[in-house]
Amino acid sequence: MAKNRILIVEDEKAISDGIAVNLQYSGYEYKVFADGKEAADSLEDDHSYDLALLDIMLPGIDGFELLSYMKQYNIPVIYLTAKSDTSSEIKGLRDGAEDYIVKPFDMLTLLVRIEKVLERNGKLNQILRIGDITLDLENHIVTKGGQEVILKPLEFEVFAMLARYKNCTILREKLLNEIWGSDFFGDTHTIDVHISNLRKKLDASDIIKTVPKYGYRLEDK
Amino acid sequence: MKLWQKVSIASIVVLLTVVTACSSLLLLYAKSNMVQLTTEQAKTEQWNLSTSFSEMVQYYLSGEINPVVKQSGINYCFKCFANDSSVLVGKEGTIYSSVSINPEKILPIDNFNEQKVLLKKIGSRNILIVGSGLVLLDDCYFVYTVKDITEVFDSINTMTWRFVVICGIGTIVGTLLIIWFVRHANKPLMRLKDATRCIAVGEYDKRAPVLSKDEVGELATDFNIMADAVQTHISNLEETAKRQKFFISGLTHEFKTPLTSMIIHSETLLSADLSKEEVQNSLLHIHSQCRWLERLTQKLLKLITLEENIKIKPECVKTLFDDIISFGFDNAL
Repeated sequence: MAKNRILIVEDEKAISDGIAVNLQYSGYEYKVFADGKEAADSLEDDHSYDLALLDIMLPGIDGFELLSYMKQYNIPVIYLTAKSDTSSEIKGLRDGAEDYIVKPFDMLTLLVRIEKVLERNGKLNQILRIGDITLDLENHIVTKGGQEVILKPLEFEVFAMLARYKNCTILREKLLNEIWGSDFFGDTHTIDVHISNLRKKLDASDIIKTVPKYGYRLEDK
Repeated sequence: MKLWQKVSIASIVVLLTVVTACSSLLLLYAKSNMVQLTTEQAKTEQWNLSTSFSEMVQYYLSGEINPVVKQSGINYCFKCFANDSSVLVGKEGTIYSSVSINPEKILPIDNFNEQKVLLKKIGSRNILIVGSGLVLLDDCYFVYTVKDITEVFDSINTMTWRFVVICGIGTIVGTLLIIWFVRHANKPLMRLKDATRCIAVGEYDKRAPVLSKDEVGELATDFNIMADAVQTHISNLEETAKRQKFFISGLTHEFKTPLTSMIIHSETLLSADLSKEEVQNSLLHIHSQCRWLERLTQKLLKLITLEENIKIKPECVKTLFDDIISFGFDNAL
């Protein structure tokens, strides 16, 4: 299955570059525009995007106006903006944007929100591939080299999260919170046990990297 | 208590006091006048009676006469002038009387040259007794006039009641007039109060109507001048606040953009295993954003110091242009 395509319209190159690098590492395809008008014009030729990340204050056409173009092609929109006033946020969400993120934001938040919007719109890639390992998120099936590998439910969740944000280091606490829930009374050692099991079952010692004192990263070059 | 009520009550009290005092004085004066008049009448009457009686006795009964004849003569002479208020008393007792009291017991006469007057309340009646002594045919006689002047007092009482009723009606009418007048005079003040309240709750365009040329009218004019000043100041303040808000939101935007980019790139450096070229690229971005922030801070500092140093003062336009021209020439040279 093809990768999710994301349209970025952001006039600040430093920001669009940063987002682009992260999206690339997380397994998304992307296209960047710095001008609202150019982005709108390009939609006539190519509009096969699963999601658009729009700044509001843009040269050419502003983000609010650009939303109507996105609606024509059923592209869900997340606003990334420095406009933190409530009226702008209400206007953005009322007009039909899926989410509204105020700058400055951290990258993992953006990735999680992208994933949630894709999930809501039924556009999330349900099959992830890391090397010869395939993850079917919908049916909870993992195969390695065509052979099914049996994982316990929590092991599957841990591996799915690492795969979703592949090439990004995820804090042990973050994994614990997301999978076991914030009310879990246990130490991060639980995570280490599950990671060790995953490494054994999937023969993945070389791709599941430990980042000392921080967390784990699933590498996929 | 409201001002109009206070003023009304004070005016009514003053009106009531003045009317009562004047009426009382007038009544007292009228009473004493009437009593004095009646007394004078009674005194004249008694003197006339006494004089006429004495002259008649001396004319008809002079010389040596029989005591019985003398007695009946005196009786006759007195009857000729007496009326229903006359009394004649001799040394043996009352000779003639048409009243039911004995005046010689109430008002004994010692001095024969003097006319004595007494006003006395007997039972429910007011009795005026005027008496004097006479020496006729070697005997002492006392002539009295006894008048019942209860009617005079009754008429004074009736007059008092009429006065009370008239004063009561006058006071009621006066009270109503005072209340109406005070409320009418109070109206511009109430309008001013309403205008003040409106301004207090933020309706700065409200003005008080100037209805008269008196002190209240002047107050309303001054109030309107003050309201104009307040409105101007408030709109200036609002304008400044709006400008400041706009400036701060612009500034925040200017800060947020480099911060976002720095957060994203540093996060990427921390969590992703980037190629050397990508690491270099991210660091360059972070560096350029830091420089941008630094320039922004410098500009902000300049702006603040500039605002502090600018002094506004009136200046002649010609001098200003001359300065600019000479400055231009100096620089050109």
